[in-house]
Amino acid sequence: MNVYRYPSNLLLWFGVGGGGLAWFTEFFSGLYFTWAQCNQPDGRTELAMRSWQTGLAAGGAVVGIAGFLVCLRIYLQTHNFGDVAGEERRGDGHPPPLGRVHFLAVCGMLVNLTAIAIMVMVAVAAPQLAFCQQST
Amino acid sequence: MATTIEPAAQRYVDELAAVWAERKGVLGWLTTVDHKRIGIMYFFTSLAMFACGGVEAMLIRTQLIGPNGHVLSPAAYDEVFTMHGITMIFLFVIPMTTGAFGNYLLPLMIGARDMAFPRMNALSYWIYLGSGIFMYFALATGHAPNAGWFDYVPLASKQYDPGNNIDFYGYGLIFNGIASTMTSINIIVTVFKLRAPGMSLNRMPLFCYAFIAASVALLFALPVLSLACVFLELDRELGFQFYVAAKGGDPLLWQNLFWIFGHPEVYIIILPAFGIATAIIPTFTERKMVFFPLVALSEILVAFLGFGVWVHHMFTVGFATATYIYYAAASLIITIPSAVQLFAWITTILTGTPRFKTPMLWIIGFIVYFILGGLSGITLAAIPFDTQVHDSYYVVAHFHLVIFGAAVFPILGGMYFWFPKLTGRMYHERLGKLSFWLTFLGTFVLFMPMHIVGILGMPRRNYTYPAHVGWTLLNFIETIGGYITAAGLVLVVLNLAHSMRHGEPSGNDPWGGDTLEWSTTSPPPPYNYPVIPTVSSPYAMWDTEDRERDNRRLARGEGLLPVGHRTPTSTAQDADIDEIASMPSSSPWPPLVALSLFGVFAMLLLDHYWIVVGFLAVLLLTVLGWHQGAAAHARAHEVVPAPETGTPHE
Amino acid sequence: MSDAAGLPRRVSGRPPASSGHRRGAQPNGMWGMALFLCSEVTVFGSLFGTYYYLDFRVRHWPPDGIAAPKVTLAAISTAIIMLTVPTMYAAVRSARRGGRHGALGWVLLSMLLQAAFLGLQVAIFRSDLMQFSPRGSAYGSIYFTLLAAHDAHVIIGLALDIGVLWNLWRHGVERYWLLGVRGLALYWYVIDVLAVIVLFVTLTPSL
Repeated sequence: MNVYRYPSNLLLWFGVGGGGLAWFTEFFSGLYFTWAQCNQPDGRTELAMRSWQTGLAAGGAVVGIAGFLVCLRIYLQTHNFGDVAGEERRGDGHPPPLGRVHFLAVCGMLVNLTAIAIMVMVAVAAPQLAFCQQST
Repeated sequence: MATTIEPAAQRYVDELAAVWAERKGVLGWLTTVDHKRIGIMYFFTSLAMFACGGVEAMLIRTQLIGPNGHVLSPAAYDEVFTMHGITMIFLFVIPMTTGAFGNYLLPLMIGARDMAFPRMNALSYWIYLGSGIFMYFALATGHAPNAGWFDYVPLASKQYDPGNNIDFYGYGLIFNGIASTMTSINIIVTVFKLRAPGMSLNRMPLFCYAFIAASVALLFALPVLSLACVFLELDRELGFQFYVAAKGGDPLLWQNLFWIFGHPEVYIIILPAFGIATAIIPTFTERKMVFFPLVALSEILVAFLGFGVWVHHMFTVGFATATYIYYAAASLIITIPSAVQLFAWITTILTGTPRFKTPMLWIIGFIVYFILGGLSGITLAAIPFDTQVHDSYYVVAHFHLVIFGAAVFPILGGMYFWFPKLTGRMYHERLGKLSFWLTFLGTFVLFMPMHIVGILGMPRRNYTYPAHVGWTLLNFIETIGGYITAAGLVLVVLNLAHSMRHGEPSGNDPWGGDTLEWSTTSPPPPYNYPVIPTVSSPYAMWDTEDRERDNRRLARGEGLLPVGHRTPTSTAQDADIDEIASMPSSSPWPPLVALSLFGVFAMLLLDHYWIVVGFLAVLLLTVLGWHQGAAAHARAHEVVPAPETGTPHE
Repeated sequence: MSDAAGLPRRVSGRPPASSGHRRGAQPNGMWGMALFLCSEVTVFGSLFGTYYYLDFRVRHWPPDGIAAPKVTLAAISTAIIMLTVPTMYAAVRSARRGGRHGALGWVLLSMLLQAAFLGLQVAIFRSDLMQFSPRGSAYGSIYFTLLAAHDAHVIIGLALDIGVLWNLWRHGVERYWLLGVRGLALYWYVIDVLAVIVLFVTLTPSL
């Protein structure tokens, strides 16, 4: 019988929520950067806007990929959770059921994929645009 | 299911019935805190609002039946289409889904005896009613809001709209928002804390997931709207400069704040409809929902991602494309969780044995219109295309297909589905099917031509159009479609109203339903369940062993909790029993608080600021009275900690 | 036979929380207060967002003729209200142990600190109003609205304090009012943290 070492709480949280949080952060900071640069009177702020945009989106996508891989690993380890016994986590008498950890890993993979998709789309589109180009 | 109850146990059941008995007469309804009565009040009020919004729609369509119409003057037309939008969204669809369906069904589905905060539940209803009356006072006095349901500044500013039309909008939406916030808090706490012991999160029906997602979104979206309305009223009444460009403000601030609320709002509208669909489909296909966890996850993901797409309503305001790409990307990706759910439903239907009764027909109609509306939505997520059709009837077509076709159809289907449970009678099936086909056909004829007339250039919100631009025939067809739809909807109401008196008795479970509410009587007794149910899966009614075990417990008088108004509370994830809570029985304070709040908003509207202070003092007194009553109740009914063991007897 | 017997055994296999020990879940009232505070935090988040949105819109922030806000008094008042975090925590601890006088004393102390904060805020507000008006510019509008929104929440908190104090005095620490003290403490923790953020946001031009 395999004994499964539970991931730490923090790692599981990162796996499930990291990509979403990265998207949220990249989204709001990108919003403020582009607004600050393109929608205010000249001479107020000078930013390397396109670099920031691409960098934030790419960085966010990397965080999302890391979260996805964490979840993938947990998913594969807990795949046959019927045959695996859970080890007591240190200092915490009550580990979550393995089925729940497995399910959270699935959720994490899907959420991270979604977040990665959005951020990659932005990272690809941002460098293509002329500085503060308006399409209308 | 007839159970022989032992005499000693019967005493417990009689006590239960006596303790939970509702007060009779009008006073009973005024002071009720029972979730079923509140749900019924929400239902009838929202239905009345639906009728008002429908009349407004028919006025619009009649005005547009031909070019140069004279049914409504331009000013009247502005008020009618604005009130149509406000009524349908704030006074019909949200109260109907969260207030009526949510309040009535959620405690029943999770095996509880009431919502978590019964008095706050009643308060939310009375505030909702007050806000509806408040808004319709506007129409009655001829000062209805007239700048569209999203009320853009500067048109809505004091300079261009000097009367108090927009003040009805601003104050009215803040007032209405209080009710919805309370309902959303109530739903979240109820679904997380009051589930029957044993109903862990993975054993919870999908209906509950949809309502949690909608309620969490509502909780975070409404404050933004309220703040936008506060800024609007400060600008209008006190001369502040939030939205005034010349003084450093920005009219786009309104648009941004409004749509940060407005976009999640449309997901809040559709998520309960998803929940109703996922309750009806397993019953009428006699199989479990395919991809259950993915559907639950998709519902939550849609609610979350919905907060990141709002600027797609503003693709033509002049932001840099660099800003728009964030929203275009998220708007395109958000179709994926919606599509996952669609595939799950369709697969469940195709791999089950579908019975096409009336509720199921409405769900099929919902799926058709969700696909059609969703497709036009994807096209609108593409910035270049959106730039061409922004503010045209193409957009009107899209959102009506998803709001009416995809959010209202499940509401109508749900009305037919749960009608036997609420009334104990069955509706007339053939008339039900006819009402569906009329509405389905009418919706198609009404909204599909709008795509074309929009691309041909017809702008929205114009009170009429000229004769030789090629829009006449399409508008005429749309108006006929509108009348057909109205006929179908009237038939729905007539069918249900007639069947309430003359329908065949339906019994507890006419459909072979899968969720807990079908196990209790039709209509349910005030205490919902004589025995707190045992749950092993999300399809509680199909677990016959559990239901038989509950019958044996009823026969022996176990798990009844007859003393006081009791229901168990449990932990959030695993639904381990936590404590036995005592619920309030009835209270006069909710309507009194709502009345004082109404006074506050009415006096704000009329600019009598000192009287506002007076009403705030009255409000404070009513709130104090409420809490003294609550404390006395808590003192009188000792809350019992959970039993130590509780291994069920066999 | 007990009416509560026969309820399903615990799913998770964890031992039940017996009376007197910590329960497995937060009471419904705490959930309600926490969710209500989510709504209020969103209001403040939107206010902060509006502040910076308007900031980036114009060339000069604050506009010409308006001095950047002064740091000292605002910082002192914020420090005062932050002291209510430990005092409210102490109040909850007293209440949990059933100590009526302890709970009363700590809540009263918190209330005095909050009132001092409010007094200083009103002074700042009035002195600023003499310098510039909320009707003169968007800067003035958002500045005063942001401060007023926070002060309004402090006033409501003071009213809640009075309610809790009165009932602790009349009825002691019974179950309903223990929950009241806990809910009140949660409310103040959030309002206090918001006070710090409001300070930083309004002092942006001076930083």
